Amino acid sequence: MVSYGLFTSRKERNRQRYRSDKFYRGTFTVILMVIVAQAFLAAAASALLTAEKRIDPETRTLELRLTRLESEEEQYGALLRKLKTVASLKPLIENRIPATKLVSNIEEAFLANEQVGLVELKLSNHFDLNDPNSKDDFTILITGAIKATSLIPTVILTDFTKTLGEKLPQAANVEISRNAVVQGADAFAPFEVRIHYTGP
Amino acid sequence: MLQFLSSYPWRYYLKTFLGKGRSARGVLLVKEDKVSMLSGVGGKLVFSSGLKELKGAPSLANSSKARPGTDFRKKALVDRSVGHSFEWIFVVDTPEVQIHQVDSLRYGGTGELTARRVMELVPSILKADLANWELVNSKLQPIEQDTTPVSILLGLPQSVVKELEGWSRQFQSIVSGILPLVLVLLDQSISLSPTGFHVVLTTNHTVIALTQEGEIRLITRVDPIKRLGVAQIDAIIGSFGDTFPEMAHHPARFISSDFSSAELANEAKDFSIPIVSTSHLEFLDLEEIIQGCGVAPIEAFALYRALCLVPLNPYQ
Repeated sequence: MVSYGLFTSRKERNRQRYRSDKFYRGTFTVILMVIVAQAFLAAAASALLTAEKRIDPETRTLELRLTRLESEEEQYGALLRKLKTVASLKPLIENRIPATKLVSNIEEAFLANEQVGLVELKLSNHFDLNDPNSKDDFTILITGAIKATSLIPTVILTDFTKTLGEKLPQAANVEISRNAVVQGADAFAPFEVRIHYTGP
Repeated sequence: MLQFLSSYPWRYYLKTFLGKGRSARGVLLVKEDKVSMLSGVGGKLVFSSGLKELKGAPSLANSSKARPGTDFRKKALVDRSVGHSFEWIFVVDTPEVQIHQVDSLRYGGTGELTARRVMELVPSILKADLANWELVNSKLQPIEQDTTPVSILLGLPQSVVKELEGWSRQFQSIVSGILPLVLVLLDQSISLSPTGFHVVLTTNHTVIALTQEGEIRLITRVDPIKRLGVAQIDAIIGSFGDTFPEMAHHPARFISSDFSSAELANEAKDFSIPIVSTSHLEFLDLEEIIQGCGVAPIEAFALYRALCLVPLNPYQ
């Protein structure tokens, strides 16, 4: 056998050597991967640019809309704040027991106890108009008199306060602040009942 | 650096990125008047001759471009898997081929065979720098492998090498070797008669050699037989016989790709020693292997011999 590559030029032999050289093939693979990666990068960048160009008008429209909404929000801010307050007060208003109702309950208690007479009724409410979380805080001071009969006025007053407790809402606190005691030859024994009721 | 860049096989790497694929080989005989080919088609070796006229065929000078669509590609290379994994072996017959017998002792070491070194070995050589040179031992093997006392210096014009490599590069193929036709025929002749005289006749050369047990003892190249005449060849063989008297009784084997065995016998009928004309009948076993060899059997067998002479690609 003759030698491989007989009479071939050095260039041709180099060509063959380079073809099978692992280092050159490896270098080529690396270069090819870099080129492919660059191509992918370029493709991705161009795709992003295209998408950006397409989205750009939509973005501008949305930005304009956002600005308009912000100005509208600013314009209706006061109203919104009021609406929020009203919304927070809504359950208070819906569940509120008005003073007239309490007075009506007290009237019913008087009607149920004929021996007991009303002299004066003082009603005060410590409701804070500036506090959205404020509740009705009624204090009712009843000044009355019990006609001296065969029955003991204290018993009559106890019955009366029991009736009040039944007629008034459960949260109402009824207490006798001045017991009905007959003073000398007076025909009526004066008394005072204090009712305290805090709204739900 | 420029040489590296120009030789960088980036196309080959691209094509073989996912695997090298199967390599195939083919042999092309390129003469001034003839182009023949031997290569595998569908698992069989097929010999095709008369390809010189096809556009795109290789040539020893000014090969036409074998672009896709040229006749050579369409007709000669069809189904032959010619591409980046294909290896060409060229067998050439050109008047500029040089053959010189060199004393291995004079050659000395195994350094690079430069034009200057060649001129030192054979001072009569002209324009040594225009040729590529190879030195083989007496068994036609690389001299580095086995340094025999007799070695043979072969020269081939650089222009021919460049032309054939350029032609091959059009297919991204590689060239495994370029062999002078006389060398291939001589090897074939030696394989048939390991000891004796050999007369190798080609269009451009007559090579006369004396071998002993497959090794060349004497070799010379002279003009073609048409120009030289049989008597001159007979005289040279006679002088060889004088140098090696013990070999003088051996017959002379004639081999030619141009003459038939009958023509050879007729040419050498007045020889002083018995002759043997190499006939295709001596290669009957090859007729079964090579399809289409009947057109030019000796030529086809010579190409097959060339295919066996060049070893497989050591880089793969």
